[in-house]
Amino acid sequence: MSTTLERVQALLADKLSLETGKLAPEAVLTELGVDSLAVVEFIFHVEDEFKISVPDAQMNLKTVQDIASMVDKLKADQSVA
Amino acid sequence: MNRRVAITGIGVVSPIGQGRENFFNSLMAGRSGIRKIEAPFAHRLAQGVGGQIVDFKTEEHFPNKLKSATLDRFSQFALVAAKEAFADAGLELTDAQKERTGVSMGTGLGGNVALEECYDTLFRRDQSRLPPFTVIKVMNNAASGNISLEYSLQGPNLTYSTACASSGLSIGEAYRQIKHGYADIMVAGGAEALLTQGTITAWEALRTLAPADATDIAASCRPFSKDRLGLVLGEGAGIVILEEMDAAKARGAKIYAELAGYGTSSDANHITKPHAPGQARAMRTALADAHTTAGVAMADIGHINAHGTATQVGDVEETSAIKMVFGEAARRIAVSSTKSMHGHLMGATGAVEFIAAVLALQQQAVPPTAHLRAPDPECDLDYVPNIGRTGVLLKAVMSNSFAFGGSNAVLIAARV
Repeated sequence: MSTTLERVQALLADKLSLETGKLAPEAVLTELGVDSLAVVEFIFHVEDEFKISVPDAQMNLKTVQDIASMVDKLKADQSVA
Repeated sequence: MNRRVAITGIGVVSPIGQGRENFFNSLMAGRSGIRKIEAPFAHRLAQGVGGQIVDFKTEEHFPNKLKSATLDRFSQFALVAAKEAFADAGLELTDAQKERTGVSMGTGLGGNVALEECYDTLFRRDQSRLPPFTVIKVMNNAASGNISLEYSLQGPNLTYSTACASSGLSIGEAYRQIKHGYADIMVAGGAEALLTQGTITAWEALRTLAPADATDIAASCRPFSKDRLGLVLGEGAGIVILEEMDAAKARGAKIYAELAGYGTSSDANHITKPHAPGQARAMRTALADAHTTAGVAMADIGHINAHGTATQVGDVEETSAIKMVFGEAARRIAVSSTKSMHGHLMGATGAVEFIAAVLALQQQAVPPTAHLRAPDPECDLDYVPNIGRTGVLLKAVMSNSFAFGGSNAVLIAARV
């Protein structure tokens, strides 16, 4: 079973055409060329992949790890069942 | 300020071939790209015939998924045509030149594919969540914005949406930007991708579309023919690079032709019905401009790429307008409707047809009006029926674009 971080990394590589080798947890999104508009696009895919809903207030993401952490938190919050 | 304008680059994405050479070769061969529309909704269409581009692969042109996710099909066509035109012009712009270079594009419906996908999600699939890039894909100025971005062009960034005249107008207005000194180089043209269920069905409802020809679907659009039954929708893009003439010559650019004249007018007569007096006004304005600008005389016009949509009314009105302007001399002009082969590309059609006219001038070869089986007695000019002509002496050519809403745009190109 892949970790959330690994799934986020794979999704970044697939949906944003990024090189897997550059997607370290501490990698800064803007330095990867992922600007605020691209983050919005990526979150759309994150919502599909992890079956979560990301509120607008959660959009302050700086690194790859930030996305994975956000996903874990939202999954815990939103997994009512 | 009155400067002259050179055409130095051409790019085409069309139903009869990608790239200017394939496009013009198809035209001269009388090869039609009109076909049965392939789409999941095709069974819902009454006619289901169109100038659909079937050999355009998004992933080949835009391997980066983040990039392609921002681009509707019409912007993709525009960027591919712009790339070809830039390479053709051989331009390598300095930072100072980029500030004096602009974009002027035409489109009727902009990101129609993305808009329809959005409606499909909301209304048919009853969902409430849309892809984040929907807005930036759908907007009408997405093509011009993306071209500006791709090549860092910082001058005017314009989009004209005047239905079927959109890109005749966008090229004409780009010409004026250079002529009057607001820019030195303009990337000008049009792009359209509207073969969606909603748009085709809406056109069917208007009862202007030709049915699929029973024996040869490629011959469904028959401008100026007595048995014509209406227009056929198509998709694609055409881009020209326009440059101030002296600068183009100084850098040793290959110059296809001079964009010598432009005229625009409004029918102010009927929202859809074409009107010969309005069309004639646009032609006369363009001729007067070409005369003042480049010394082009009316008698120099040897070829007209007609608007020629193949509607009953339209072809008769345009024939009448040409005769109003040129008088008896109209009979010695080779008038072609290349829509018989590529269909009506709406917001891209003016650009693609102007390119056809410019290439005809450059190669001294006139493409035919295809599928002209039986001449309509009311359409009594030389429409170059079915077979293209080579070795024709052409000094200047005209391209007509006439729109719903009454906008008319006429462009004239002359040999340099």
